[in-house]
Amino acid sequence: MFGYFCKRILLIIPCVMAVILLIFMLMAALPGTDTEHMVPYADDVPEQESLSFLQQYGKYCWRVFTRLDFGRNRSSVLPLREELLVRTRITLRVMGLSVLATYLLGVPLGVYAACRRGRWQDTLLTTITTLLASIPAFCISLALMLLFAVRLRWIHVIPQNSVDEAVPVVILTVMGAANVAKVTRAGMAEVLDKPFILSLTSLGLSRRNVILTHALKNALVPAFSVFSSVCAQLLCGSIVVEHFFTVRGLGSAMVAAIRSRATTTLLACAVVVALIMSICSVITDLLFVTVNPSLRRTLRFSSNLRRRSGR
Amino acid sequence: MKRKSRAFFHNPAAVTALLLLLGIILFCILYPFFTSVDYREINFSERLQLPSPKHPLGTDEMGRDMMVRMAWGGRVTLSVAFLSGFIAAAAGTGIGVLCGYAGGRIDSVIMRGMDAIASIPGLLLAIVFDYLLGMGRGNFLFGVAIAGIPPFVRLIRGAVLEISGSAYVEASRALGATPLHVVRKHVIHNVLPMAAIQATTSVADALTTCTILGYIGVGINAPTPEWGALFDNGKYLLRTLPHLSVIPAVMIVVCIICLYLLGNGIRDSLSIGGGEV
Repeated sequence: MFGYFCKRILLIIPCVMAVILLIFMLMAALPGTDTEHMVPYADDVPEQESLSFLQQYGKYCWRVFTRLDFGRNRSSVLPLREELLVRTRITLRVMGLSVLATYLLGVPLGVYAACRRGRWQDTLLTTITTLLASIPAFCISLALMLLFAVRLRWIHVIPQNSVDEAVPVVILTVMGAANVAKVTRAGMAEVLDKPFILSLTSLGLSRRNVILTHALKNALVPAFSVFSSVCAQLLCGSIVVEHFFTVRGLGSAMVAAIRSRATTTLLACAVVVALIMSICSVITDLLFVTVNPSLRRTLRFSSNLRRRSGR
Repeated sequence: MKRKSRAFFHNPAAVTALLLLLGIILFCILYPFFTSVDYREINFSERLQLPSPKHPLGTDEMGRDMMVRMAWGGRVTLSVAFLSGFIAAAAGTGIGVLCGYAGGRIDSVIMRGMDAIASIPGLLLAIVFDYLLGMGRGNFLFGVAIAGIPPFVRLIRGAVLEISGSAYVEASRALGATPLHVVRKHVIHNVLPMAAIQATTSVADALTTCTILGYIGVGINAPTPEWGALFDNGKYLLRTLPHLSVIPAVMIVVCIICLYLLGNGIRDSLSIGGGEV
């Protein structure tokens, strides 16, 4: 198992390199992108111009992986690394907190809905979660702001204290929890139909015991299998929420880069996002093995956990 | 088929959703023809007005009529959403049928590719496409469409695998039917309703992505209104004139809810009709 995860962690590097290659190729192949955009390092332009496509690509990858050096913008004096580190830290804090809160809120809600299957509580929760999971983040942000900032005046429209800074986390949590609750409900409903639940109940175990110690373990498998897609959703959501609350995170860096056509910054942001997503995917596999012990045995022969288990 | 469509039209939620959606689309298409106001017309003497007979939804900070801007924004947003949703549906169904029916190496290679696409957040794919293909002209549409393909392929592939394993397909094959015949006569027929349901989801997703891009200022260029961009414009007047941001947001949410109810209606009518799916 240890060996498997070492391999998975090492596989992050080719994944990120593939993303860089894809973007480099798109930049080289598409019309309208001048060669200037191909140069990620403004400080050594004369040298860069003589390099071939593959040399440029290799040099960029080498610098990123050995020194975390993303070059710098033509318009900026500071290297990109410093700025990206600060911004990534902000985004990761918001994202990490909301992923945690998402699971703490979503799993109990899903279990509750599954236990009340067919009754009005279930219908209500299912409807609300489906809607919340599909409407854009800024609509949720608007509704919360209208209620708490404009009508009740509990928080400020422009963040001023620590309570205001928690609002993005709340919005992302609402979005993510809706998704997790949906998946957990489906998983739990499936488990509750299994014969072993009936036999445990007939043995005289209390319903609480059956659900919390026996059914929940099985229902957690689908809930954790969506971990990486929840992370992706919250990362996208954080771009929107950062724009809404003018947080200076990774998302706003990306939007600013697009507006000023700073290709170096956009490329660096894409690399950071690819890195975060790859790490999330490794964490998903780790969680998956934790909640599903039967996978530990098959691990040695499998290259892709989620596919093997039918997800 | 008749019974299924009757079941659909007896579902009040689905019919309401369908009518509402058609109403919104018709409003967006027709309203600009019935008014003499241009959506680009700037009139500073009438800026930031509340709704009035002359301007049914008021005016924005440049004195532009919100009603016309909403209709034009709807044209842009909805056409991008439906177009990319349908591209995703067509491509996804085709690839899914191919994967499910061909199997073997083709299947595993394509599914690997789909896994790779699905692991990139859709919004980022759209942003990168928009950036590289030229901004402001709606080129993110292709990114949105590509991001919508993997769930389609997975769904359709699963269905095709199930159908092509069933007894009547085997019988048809034993009678000497060519693969093309089987796909055309049996597989497509069974898969299309599922594709229709998934298409409503993918249009809703495309609508979300499109408005988000407009909202963060990356989508369509500024003078052309778009629901997400209109919302962003109104956001700064949230305290004084909330209707400027609430109306676009409500329209977006209503469209998404309608699409969701529509998909649900199709699904329910199929299970009542007792179809193969």
